Amino acid sequence: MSVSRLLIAVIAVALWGVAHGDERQMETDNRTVLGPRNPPLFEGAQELLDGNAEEGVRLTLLGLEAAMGRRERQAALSNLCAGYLLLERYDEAIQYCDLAIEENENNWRALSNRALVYVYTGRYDEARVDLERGEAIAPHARSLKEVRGMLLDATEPVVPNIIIDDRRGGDDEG
Amino acid sequence: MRTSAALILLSMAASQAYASETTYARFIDENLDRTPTHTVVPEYPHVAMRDRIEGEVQVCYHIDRRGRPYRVAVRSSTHRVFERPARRAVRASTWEALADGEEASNVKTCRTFTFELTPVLAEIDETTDGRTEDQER
Repeated sequence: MSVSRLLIAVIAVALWGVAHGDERQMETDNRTVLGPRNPPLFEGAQELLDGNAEEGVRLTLLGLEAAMGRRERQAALSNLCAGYLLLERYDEAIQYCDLAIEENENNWRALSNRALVYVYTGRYDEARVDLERGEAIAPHARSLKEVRGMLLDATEPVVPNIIIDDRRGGDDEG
Repeated sequence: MRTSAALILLSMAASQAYASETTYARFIDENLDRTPTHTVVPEYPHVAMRDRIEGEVQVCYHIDRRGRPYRVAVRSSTHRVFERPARRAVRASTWEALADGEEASNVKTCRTFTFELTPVLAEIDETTDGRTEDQER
């Protein structure tokens, strides 16, 4: 696979949060949770996190069919966007992100994933718009920061430069 | 004498330092108290690079008889993200050991690290085959 580990890490946060969201919510009330409610969706997310994009997409499509409720459906759509990005099938990735954002305009994970697709396809202005929208919803989200960094690397690249200066001594400190 | 010594130190430090392939390092060294033998260049922190953060850290330390730093501490910094790599770089650096009969000055030394990001010039448009506009005409 030509997709770097960095890319997987960038989308991983979005997938992890979505996959575990329901579990966390259930922990706060009195229900006993024995496992994820939608196993294919959960396992699909795990596969994507491991970089197994094909298996991840296959399971997530099953998870989408079995999705109960808006939240699971949105998670599935957002994860499919990430999965197709990993497979470098950018048109399909955007299609699923569009659906996820249509269903919930505050889905910053889908916005982050779509921005990432736009960065990979050189559609930088559209990436910028999605990032601004996502950052307004979740200003501290790591995945958004990573995608923002990737956009900057693509549009305003920099090289690190470190100056080591031994001239200013600490004699006064003793 | 002072200038030539500084230049020698500078070239020694530069030749013995290491850094990641993408990091450019520059050394300014006029401290003649102890001669650096191995100057470690800190890595530019990923988060700082990602968020385009630049800054400066001053790390102060003593150097023992064998040329190893001790009591390494940050004296000032513009951003915490740079403090750990700067401290680590000093801890991993070495200076010339003292010869028999030489006394350590017991004076604290400080090293300032400036972390900068230099814009990369835009690449030449591939559609022009690397030729400039003037050449094209």
